[in-house]
Amino acid sequence: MKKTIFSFIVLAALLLQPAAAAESITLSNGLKVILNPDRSAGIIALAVFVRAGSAYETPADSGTANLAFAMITRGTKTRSAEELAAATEALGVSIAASSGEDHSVISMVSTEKTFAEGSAVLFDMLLNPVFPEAELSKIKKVAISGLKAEKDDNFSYTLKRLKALMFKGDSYALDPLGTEENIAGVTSSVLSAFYSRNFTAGRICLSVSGSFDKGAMTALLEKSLSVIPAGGQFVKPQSAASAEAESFASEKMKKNQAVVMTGFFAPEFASADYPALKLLSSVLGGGMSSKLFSTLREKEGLAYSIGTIYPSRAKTCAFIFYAGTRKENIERIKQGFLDTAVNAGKPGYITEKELADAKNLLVGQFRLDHQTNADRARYLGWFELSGPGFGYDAAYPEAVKAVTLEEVSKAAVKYLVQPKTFVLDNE
Amino acid sequence: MKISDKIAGVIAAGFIMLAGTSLFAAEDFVKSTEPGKNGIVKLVLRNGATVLTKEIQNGLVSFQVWFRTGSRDEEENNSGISHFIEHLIFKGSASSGVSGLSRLIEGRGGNLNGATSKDFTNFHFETAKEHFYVSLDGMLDCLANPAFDEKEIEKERKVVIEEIVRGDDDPGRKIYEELFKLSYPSHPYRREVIGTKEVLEKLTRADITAYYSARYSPERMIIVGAGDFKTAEFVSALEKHFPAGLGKPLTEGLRKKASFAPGRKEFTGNYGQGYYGSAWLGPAADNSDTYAMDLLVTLLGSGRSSRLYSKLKEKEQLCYSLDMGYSTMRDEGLVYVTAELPPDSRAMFDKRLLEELKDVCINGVVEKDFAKAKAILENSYIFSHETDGQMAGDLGYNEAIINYEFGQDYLENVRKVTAADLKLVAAKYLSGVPASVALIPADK
Repeated sequence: MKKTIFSFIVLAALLLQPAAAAESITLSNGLKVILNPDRSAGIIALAVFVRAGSAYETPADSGTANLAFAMITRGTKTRSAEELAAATEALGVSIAASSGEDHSVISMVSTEKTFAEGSAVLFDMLLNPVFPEAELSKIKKVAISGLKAEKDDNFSYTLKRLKALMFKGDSYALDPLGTEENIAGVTSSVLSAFYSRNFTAGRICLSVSGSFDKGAMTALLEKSLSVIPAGGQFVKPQSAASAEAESFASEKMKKNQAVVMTGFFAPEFASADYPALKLLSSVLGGGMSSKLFSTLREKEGLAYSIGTIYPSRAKTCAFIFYAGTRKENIERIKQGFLDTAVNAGKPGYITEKELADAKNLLVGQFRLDHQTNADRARYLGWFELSGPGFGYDAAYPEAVKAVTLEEVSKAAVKYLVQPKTFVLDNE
Repeated sequence: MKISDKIAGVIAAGFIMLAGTSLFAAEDFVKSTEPGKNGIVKLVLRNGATVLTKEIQNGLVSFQVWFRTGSRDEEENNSGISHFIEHLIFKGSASSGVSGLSRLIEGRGGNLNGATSKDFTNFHFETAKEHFYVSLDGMLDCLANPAFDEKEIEKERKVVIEEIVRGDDDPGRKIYEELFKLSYPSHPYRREVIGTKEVLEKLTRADITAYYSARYSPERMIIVGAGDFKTAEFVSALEKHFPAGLGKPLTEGLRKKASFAPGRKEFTGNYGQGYYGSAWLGPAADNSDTYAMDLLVTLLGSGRSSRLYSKLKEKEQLCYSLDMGYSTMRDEGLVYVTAELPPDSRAMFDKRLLEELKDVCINGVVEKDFAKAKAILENSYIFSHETDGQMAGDLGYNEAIINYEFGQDYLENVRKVTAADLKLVAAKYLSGVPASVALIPADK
């Protein structure tokens, strides 16, 4: 019993630092694996990150990655879609695949007990997908209905339109769902070719967090996944975003609510300015004590949802101010956004105390966002694949704490210029 | 499960040693202390408030306050007041000032929020253990001495009206709200938690303060802590926020029996696709059918190989998405099926759904599907109890609607259910005509 108590306390203490125990190994085919043993919950979470998504697509083939990842769980050489679903669900294991912009992910959460059987099914999906036509026709219908339903969500629709405005000529303007025409043209052989191109060791990073033995896990992954071909050298995508893009667009729809989004070009995840911009985003729009929340919502009551978004991306992306409001407030919100952007770089607008609070908030949220094994596996794999490496998961809090007020103001002056605005207006 | 059982044992042992050293607050503050399962301690304070703690040594703490009052306890003329109060609490106490609470907690890296539902109102934060007590003092100060400042009420009124307007544009939410409205002809579950614009425009400061003192009283209060703290210190920290004295006993009945009305409603609007929902009246939380109902809903609608999903979506392709759910609530909650679908397949979807349910009512379920549903339910329970916040939420929610043991004994009770029970529960609850709602795109 004493031994149990001791090991519990030691492992629990590791939680104080996000994934501090993580380390990486490389399989014989070059596939990078991040291992984060953590026995506190009896759960194992595994995430397979693939460098594929709409950022790697063109207007002619957008939507392919989305279909490929929706199909990866729907048929292997030896199991039908139905058999795959029945096999994992009978174990109570959850396997999900989704595609985004910079990367796509196939993830699994299981208990220690069901991991062996669950991962056997997952590896079958990864290694032997067949993309059956009958399943594809179903998935295509769902994707087309998803495109039609985009207008039913005011916020995501406005975001999609703002990106199209800002990133004309760049892959970030593309809808990850694609277009109706593109979706219609995808066949099983298109997906097989996509698979061969993208499922190579150089484009994949796998992360595991939870209750496992490092040696046994390493042996299992080597045995199961070293057959994945090494593939060629991976080339990072380049941004084609241009400051010359139009600065305003709007659309009138029969809705009760209006949405205003103003975007600015901002640097990629690996940029030296990244931590300063994360803090700027936090001060201006991250939480209930932020500048936008306390002025436009708390003082003026102009909006319910309001804030900023600065995503962590592989190439030049958008730093966005957003607000859900009403027709009569659109102009005041637009002006409020522009004033905030201009003021953000002025001395004295952000105080040392606000910066210190923003640092605590950012680091604190980061820590609170690492509580489940699925969270820890997601962060590690993502940092390795799209950012400065998995080690940044442990280094990030220090990088944030080191930023000075001057660096934040400089970042505001440098990046919060040439605003582009999209308004979802009411008829 | 073995590991977590061991962990629970360790914490329980630690607690008993502490209690033996009499670190507890004065006896006139705590009325009773009761160590429960899995390291949970339940205390009842002399003022009537319930305190639940679970110590987990992981560097973080989740603190939650649940009030057994929500839109269920409102009337037509103050519909939405609980939700409005929830917003106003974050506007600070007489001494903290506006945004004082969010600055206090977020400035130390924590997060905070609140939620109002039909059965409860909830306030919570999560933070690193070193900031726990200062955050707790801030939140309890706002709850004990809310400012309800006249000017802030006016501003927040606009914000909540924005929230109502925003919700009107969301088809998923509309289906849900319309199902409740249609299903309950008289029970207060029929009203939206957020209330109506008309009522909100009229609520005065006097209405708010009177309602707050009447409903947000210690005897309806459940205080939950899960994470890295010691129960004895935690209880001492609570003491200064509550005036001494005995609480009033709860005089109202805990249950209001709900009746159900089947019916159909259609709305045509500017939608990109069709949306559908059907609902039946399910068992209330205090009814032991609730475990079999959870299993039945899992068997029918959870996962791609579940019965309704595999047939109606995968094989027959009548919809793009399908969800089935059951809200375990204090009074009888709804069992519902929602779907996104092409408008022209709605009639067929409706017909096939009822046929499948009828078949379950008559012929029961297949043993293999039953075993699968149990595996899914058990595992999803484990996956959703990994963080302090999830554990505190489980304790608070269950204590608010029935009692915290409900959550602790949940898996054990689920394991006792047999396949034959599912047939009985299906026949008892899902054999009647449902309440059905559809949203239809205007151009179809």
